[in-house]
Amino acid sequence: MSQQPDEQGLIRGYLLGELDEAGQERLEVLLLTDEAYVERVALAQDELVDEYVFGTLSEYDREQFEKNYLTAPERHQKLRIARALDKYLAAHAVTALARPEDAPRMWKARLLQFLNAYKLKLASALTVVVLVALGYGLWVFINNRWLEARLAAPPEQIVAVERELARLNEPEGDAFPPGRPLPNDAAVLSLKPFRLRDAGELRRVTIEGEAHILQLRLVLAADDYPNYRALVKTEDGKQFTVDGLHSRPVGDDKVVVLRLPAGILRTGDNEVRLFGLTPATQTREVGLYPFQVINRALP
Amino acid sequence: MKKKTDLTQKEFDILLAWLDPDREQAARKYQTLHSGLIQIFTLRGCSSAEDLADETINRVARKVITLAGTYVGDPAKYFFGVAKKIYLESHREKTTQIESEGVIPDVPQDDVEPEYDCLERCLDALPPDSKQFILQYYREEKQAMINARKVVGLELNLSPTALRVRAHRIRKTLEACIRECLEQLG
Repeated sequence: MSQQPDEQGLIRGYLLGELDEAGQERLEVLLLTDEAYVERVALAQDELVDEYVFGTLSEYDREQFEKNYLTAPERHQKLRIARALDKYLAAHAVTALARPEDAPRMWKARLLQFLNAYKLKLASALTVVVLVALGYGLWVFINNRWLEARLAAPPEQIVAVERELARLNEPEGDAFPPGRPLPNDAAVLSLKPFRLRDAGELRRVTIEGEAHILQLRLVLAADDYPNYRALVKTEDGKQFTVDGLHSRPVGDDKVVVLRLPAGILRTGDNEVRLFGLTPATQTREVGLYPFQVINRALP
Repeated sequence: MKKKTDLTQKEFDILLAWLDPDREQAARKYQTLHSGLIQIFTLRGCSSAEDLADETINRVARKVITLAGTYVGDPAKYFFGVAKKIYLESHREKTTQIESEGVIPDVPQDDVEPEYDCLERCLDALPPDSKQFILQYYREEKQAMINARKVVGLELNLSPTALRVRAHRIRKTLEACIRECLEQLG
């Protein structure tokens, strides 16, 4: 199902009461012959209501919306539901994406739901729960020990790397300003924040033997903070924090430049989580930047 | 509005035959007409859209015996003509009611506490991946809408249709759940 921009404008005009009677009727006859069109109009309604709730309608459109759209109790209810959803999103501002450490709670909830749904006898249900809990507990214990072993590194190594990260990302020492030719020992990768719609987009860099530094240019969707913090997670499970980052213009974008020593990046999947820092030192995640590395310099 | 009467099997069969000689195709066209009529009445602000859609179909079905031999053109346009007439009738009734009772059109309220409570319940009832998807989708869409207004001349970058459709379908499920929850709360 595709939707052309002019068709979208037509549907929007219809919802805001801007079409003449002939235009209105042409659109409505389409609703009787094209089931996909019914869904497109319903979808456009959702988005119009959301724009009203988010406050992104122009003043004219807002007036039209209030005058011509909010004319039935069902539409008022749809608006209240949209407001409730907006309120819910604001109350749960930090991303609630499932993390590996949430998996045990989710599985437990699913297991309990399964047992209730089938109404097993109490004795046999308890027996099953106890057996599963024992087996599950053993699994969590083994898994956590494995994770601890992976994450463990001599503290002095982490400190040395973070010292190197701080040196590479000093605000005054802009060794590789964007726009100037890079030295031979630097690889560069520009990344936009990961979105569901970008799934499958190539985000990979190859580090050749002579490159000692990877420069990431993290494109910002919005530049709302004076300072940024990057949390780097490497393929082998290590985590490093880089503070004192700032945005800068690169072409039409605002980016945060993050320089990483190539030695900490093994071949595989790595990611950077970028956080904005408010003057009150509160943090808000502004983007997730996963990327793949092929590091030919490391064994 | 008169109480709706059900179509007899014979009337229904004649109606389907008029829509298409192939019964399966006719059934599909009937479904599209029915959902389209509900959508039209809803979009025109009618509060009992399903009843009005049924009334439209009933009236057309009763006429089909005389229509079938003489009508030339897309049956959908005939349905639309009858729907328009029914809309005007119901609109006249509603206007008269408003005038006599002095009803002022409802003003949106800021307090959405009942809807919020029901939303929480209904979100928890969704499959976890649907819940995660819908929340992340609207979080990102809100930011995208806000950003689009900040940047002058930004080329519209619509999300892929499949994402929008999926979000819309999950939202439709959520809205139906919330309405049912609100009815239970009274």
